[in-house]
Amino acid sequence: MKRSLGFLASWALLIAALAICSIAITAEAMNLREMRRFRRFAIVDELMERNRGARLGALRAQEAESRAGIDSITSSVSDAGTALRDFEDTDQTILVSTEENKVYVRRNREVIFEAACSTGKGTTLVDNGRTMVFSTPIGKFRIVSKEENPLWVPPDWHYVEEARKNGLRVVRLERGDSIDASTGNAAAPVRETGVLSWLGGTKTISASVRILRVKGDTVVEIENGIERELPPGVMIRAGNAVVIPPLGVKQRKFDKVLGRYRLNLGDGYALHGTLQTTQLGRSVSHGCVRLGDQDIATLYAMANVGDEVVIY
Amino acid sequence: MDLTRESLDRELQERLAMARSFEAAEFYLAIDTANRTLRLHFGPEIVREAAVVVGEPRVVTAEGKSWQFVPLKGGVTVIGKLVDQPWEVPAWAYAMRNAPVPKVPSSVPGGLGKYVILLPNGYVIHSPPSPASPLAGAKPGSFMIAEDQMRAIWPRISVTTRVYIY
Repeated sequence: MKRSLGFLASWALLIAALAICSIAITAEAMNLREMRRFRRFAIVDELMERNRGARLGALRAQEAESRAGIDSITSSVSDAGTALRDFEDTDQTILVSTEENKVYVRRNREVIFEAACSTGKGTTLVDNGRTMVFSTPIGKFRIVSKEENPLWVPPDWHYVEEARKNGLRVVRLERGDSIDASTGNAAAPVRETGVLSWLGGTKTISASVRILRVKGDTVVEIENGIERELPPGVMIRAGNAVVIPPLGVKQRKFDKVLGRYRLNLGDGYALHGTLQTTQLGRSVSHGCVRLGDQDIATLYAMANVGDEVVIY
Repeated sequence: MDLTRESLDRELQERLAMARSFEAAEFYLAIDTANRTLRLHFGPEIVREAAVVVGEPRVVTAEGKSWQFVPLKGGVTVIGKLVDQPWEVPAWAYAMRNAPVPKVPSSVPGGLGKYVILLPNGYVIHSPPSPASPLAGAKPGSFMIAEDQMRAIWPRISVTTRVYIY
């Protein structure tokens, strides 16, 4: 009996030991599976972290690049602004407003001189099919020369205008021609008297009592063989005609009409003084810019050859 | 200053365009909104400077409608000029003053001033409005300069004149 009980107990112990072993093996197997899962999670986490880090790095790099780009553009904008400011208006410029009839001088962005002036009246004159517009030209010019006590050499239109104003006609006196001083017509030719007549010369003089002709750099009136030089700077009348003397003769040069100073802009345009000071502030000139005596003297002192003049 | 890449790039392009204009023998306008100055340029030369009133940006709402006035920046071209033209007063001008909007639009002589330079999209450079105008100062988002200044630059402005606003 005792022996069979011991045998049974041994079997029971063996079965129990086997059960414990199987439980332990199962538990260990479960542990291993969990460990593998945890390891996989860790790998996934690590991969995710690595990926996130890479993206973060890329974003940071992109941000730095964008910031550098913006900095570069900001710097360029700033440089452009500085360049514009530096480029603007550094030297002296003479400005003429045709609308206001005013002259300004700007230096270093400051208006340092301002004066009333007269600019072109904008009218037109038609003569011999040619149309002349009396406007002050718009745009940029430079002072090409400075003159004290300038002489005025009136263009042809001045004579045409004067003649029309007085209901007269114009006649041109060319070198070698003679004009009847009483009628303004070409003088009738007669044979030359004096030494030239011995040579059978073909040169002619007028048969009228008074004739006008050019002699050297002046216009003379010949009456009964006596020559008299006409005064310079005075309009010549011949009957019902205004005489246009040729360029270069004294009678084509007028003194004091342009005041004491002239700043030439080229093409016959200039800033100069005027006798018609009551007209300052109005558009009455033939294209030049007229200033009062004191103002042109001040401007003349300030201006340099080469200075820019902008007329607007 | 708007610091986006696009806006900066746009502004840079406009300033470079303005710099290129310096080389051209032509008149153009530059409006410096920061310093409230309008300049008439001829190439690189500043021909004339004038104080400019910049119309404030604003939103006007009335009777279920809304008008938004955004300040103009960049380079534009003048599209027209008006002198002594009556202004057909838009509804927003009344709404801005909390006044009732008339059923029939009214026309006010000198409502935008004697001189008006038309820019694209309804923007203008104008002289001071007449006392009868519902507009007291500069048109919102636009620009106003004194009448004598406008008169002085007027002959040099044409429909091809460029205007640079910065």
